[in-house]
Amino acid sequence: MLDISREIIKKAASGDMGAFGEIYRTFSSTVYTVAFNITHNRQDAEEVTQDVFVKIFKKLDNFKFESAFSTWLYRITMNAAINTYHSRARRNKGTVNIENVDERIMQKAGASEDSQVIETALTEAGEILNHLSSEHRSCIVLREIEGLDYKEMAEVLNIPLNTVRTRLKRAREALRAYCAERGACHGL
Amino acid sequence: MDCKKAEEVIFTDYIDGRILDEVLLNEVEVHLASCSHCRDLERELKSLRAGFKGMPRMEPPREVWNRIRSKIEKPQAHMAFPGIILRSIPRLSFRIRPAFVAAAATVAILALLLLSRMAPYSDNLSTALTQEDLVSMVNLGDNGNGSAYNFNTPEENYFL
Repeated sequence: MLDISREIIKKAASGDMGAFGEIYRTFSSTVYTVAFNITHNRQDAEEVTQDVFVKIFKKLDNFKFESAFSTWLYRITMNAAINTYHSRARRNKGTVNIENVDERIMQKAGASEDSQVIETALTEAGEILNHLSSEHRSCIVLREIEGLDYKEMAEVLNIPLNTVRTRLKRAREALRAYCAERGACHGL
Repeated sequence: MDCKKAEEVIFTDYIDGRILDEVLLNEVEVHLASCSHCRDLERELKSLRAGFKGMPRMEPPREVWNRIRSKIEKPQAHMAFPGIILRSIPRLSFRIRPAFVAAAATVAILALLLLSRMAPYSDNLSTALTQEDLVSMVNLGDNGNGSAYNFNTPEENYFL
C-alpha cells in the first residue's frame, strides 16, 4: 500500500495547503480508481473523490497514526463509494446503467487508440464487477486491483480475517459462475 | 485431500500464495496433480486474477482538485472568525504567558518601589497642608484677637 510521511500529514492537519496538495497527488489516483471500480460511474467517482478529500482535510486533526494513513483513506473511500453506489442504485431502481460509460467513450472525439483500449478494459471489468454484491466487489477491488493482503483488507473493511477469506471465496465463486455463463472472462 | 477441501484452499490461500504450512501446501499440490477439475479451477482463477492485475490506474480530472480547494477554502474563510479566535486562544496564551508574567512582575516591582519612596513625602505633605489649611481657615474669619480679619489692601477689603 502507498503511504506518506507523518510530517506531511501533520503539516496538512495544521492547514498547510501545499502539504495537503502532496497528499492529494499521492492518493488521488487510488481514491478515484477505487471509487470508479465500485460505482462504475465517472461522475460518481469524481464526487466520491471530492468528498473523500474534503472529509480527510476536516478529519486530519483526529488521525492518531494508529493505523497506516492509506488504510484510513481506503476505509473512507470504500464507505463513500459504496454509499454512493447504493444511492444511485436506489434512484435507478436497483439497476446501474453501465452502457452510459460505453456511450460516452464512443462519443469521445479524438480519443486515442490506447485510451479506447483502457476504457474498454475498464468497462469490461466494471461490467463483471457490477454483477457482484457491494460486499464482494469491495473484496475483489481491494485484493485484485489494489493488491491489499488479507490483514490490510480486514482493517479497511473492519471485519475479521476469516470473514475476508469467506467473502473473497464467495466473490471468486460468483465471478467464476458469471464468466462460465457469459462464455469467458479470460483477461477480462 | 478431497476436492471439497482442496477447493476451499485453492479459492483463497493457495491462489493468493498465503499457505505457509509446507505439509498443507504439499497436500494441495499432490491433489492438483491428480485432479483435472481442481486444475481447471486453479487455471480459471489465475486467469481472472491476471485480468484484474492489468487494470489501468485512473486519474481524476483537474477540476476535482479545484472543487476540493474551493470547498476547503470557502468554509475556512466564512467560518474563520469564530474558528480562528477559538483556536488562537490556547496558542496565544501559551505563547504570551511568560512575557505577560514578566511584564506584570516588572510593573508590580516598579509600582512598589515608587510607592515606598513616595510614602514619607506624602505623609509630611498631607500633614503640612492640613496644618496650613487649618491656620488659613482659622485666620480667614478671625485675626487672632477675636475681631474680624484685617485685610491690608483695598481690593481684598472690597471683595472679601
